[in-house]
Amino acid sequence: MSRFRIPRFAGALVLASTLVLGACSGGGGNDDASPTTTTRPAEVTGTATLGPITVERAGTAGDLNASDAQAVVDAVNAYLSAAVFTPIATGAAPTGLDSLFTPAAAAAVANTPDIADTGLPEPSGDATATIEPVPLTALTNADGQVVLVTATLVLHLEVPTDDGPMIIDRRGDLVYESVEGQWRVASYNLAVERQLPDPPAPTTTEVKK
Amino acid sequence: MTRRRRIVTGIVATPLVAFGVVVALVAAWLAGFSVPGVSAATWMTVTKNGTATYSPQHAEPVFFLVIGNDERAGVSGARGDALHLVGVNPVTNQATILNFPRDTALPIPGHGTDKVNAANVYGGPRLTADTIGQAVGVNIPYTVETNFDGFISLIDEMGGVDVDVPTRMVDKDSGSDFEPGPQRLSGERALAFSRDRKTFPTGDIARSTNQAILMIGALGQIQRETTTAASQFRAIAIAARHTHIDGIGLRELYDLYQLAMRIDPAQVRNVTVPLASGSGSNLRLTAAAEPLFADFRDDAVLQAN
Repeated sequence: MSRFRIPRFAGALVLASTLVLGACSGGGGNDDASPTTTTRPAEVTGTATLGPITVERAGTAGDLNASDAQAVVDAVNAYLSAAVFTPIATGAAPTGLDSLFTPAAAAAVANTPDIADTGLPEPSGDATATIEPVPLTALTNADGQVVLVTATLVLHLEVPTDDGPMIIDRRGDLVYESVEGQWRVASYNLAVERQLPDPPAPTTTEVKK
Repeated sequence: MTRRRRIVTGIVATPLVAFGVVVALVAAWLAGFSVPGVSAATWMTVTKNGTATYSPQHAEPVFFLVIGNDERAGVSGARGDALHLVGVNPVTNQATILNFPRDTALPIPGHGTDKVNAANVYGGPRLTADTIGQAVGVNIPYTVETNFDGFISLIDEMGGVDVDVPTRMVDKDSGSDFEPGPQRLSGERALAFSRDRKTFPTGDIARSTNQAILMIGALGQIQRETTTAASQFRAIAIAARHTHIDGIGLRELYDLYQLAMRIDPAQVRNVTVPLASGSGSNLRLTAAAEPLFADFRDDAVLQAN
């Protein structure tokens, strides 16, 4: 049996209205305000960890050191938080992606909404993603300097919703480049598969003449 | 019972780049850098003309010249006997190959009018690029040059190249002996396919077209076999250890590789420049050449030809 769900924006309006009205009524004389209850956004989380490291050398030397490797994984986690977990949990559009991508890649992101999980059903509970350890492959130049690092992502996420579980699988490559000491996504090739729960059946009214 | 909607979205992003077919053959497998201490055959030389750097935001067509020279044991001089101008439109991801038969007569800067293959003897790939670029009216920032041994080694490293042989081909001089149809050619066989001109009444003109067919086949093969970033890194690294590169960084090559990955091989135009007989073996461009070049140079896509 399907339940009627308040659209997310409508819920936000109701919540905002409640807060405003509550604030307006705060000038009254009753100091024994009853405790307020608010809807806590569901927590959607997951942590990528470092997998095996491979170095493809254009020259005879070159390695990806441990701190850079961890920094790339940290960047992967920052991307997942900003583009996947937070938008699912809050329903809000992703923010801060510009700082995670190179300028050229960021321009492409603006036209590719599938880089982030937005516009999906509201979670009814917490969820934790399963993320395989992230293998890194570094490309080093003839001088042994790291030019690019690719992080291969395999993520599986099951999020409870009022209409059943929502399943998201993301897999593919995020290619990182160091820009002023920060690892940023220079290009990506991601496949996203989403299995969405059924929407509630529409309510129909039969009219008889 | 719950019905699930299944949404599959494939994103092949990348801060785009520009390259073309040879870019596939080259940028993909050939990056460059002469690597001190690496004792391996040099498959090819990649040369940058000028200082412009290709970047993913690039919206203008990018041109590069592929040169197969005849340098081999007993033959010196490195004439540019296989000449292909590749134009890639990074906005539409379309590519066009203009094939210049080696006997095409063109003005060579500083050397008068001569067979175009002589430009490589006079001034190497840069002068060859200037010669063809001047004829067509485009700036050619990248050249890729290989010789017999380099070509064979490159193709063999790829595990052969898939080619759809257009017709029965037999020629003992080139070693050509092919039945028509799709097949994978080793380095030696790919060279024979590329060199055979005696099978065809139109000689070098048909040969030039076949060389471009081989490049297009290589592009498709590279796209099929290097689908992950890790495999692309590996291809670039291997190629870099066997390629001498002049003026191009690995990062730029990666960007060019990404562009090559977006070009649909089935949509690449393979056009040999229109020629008429000239004095001796010098073949003159016909009047149809200039409209063709004008159509090509604005966006690397042929709309009217």
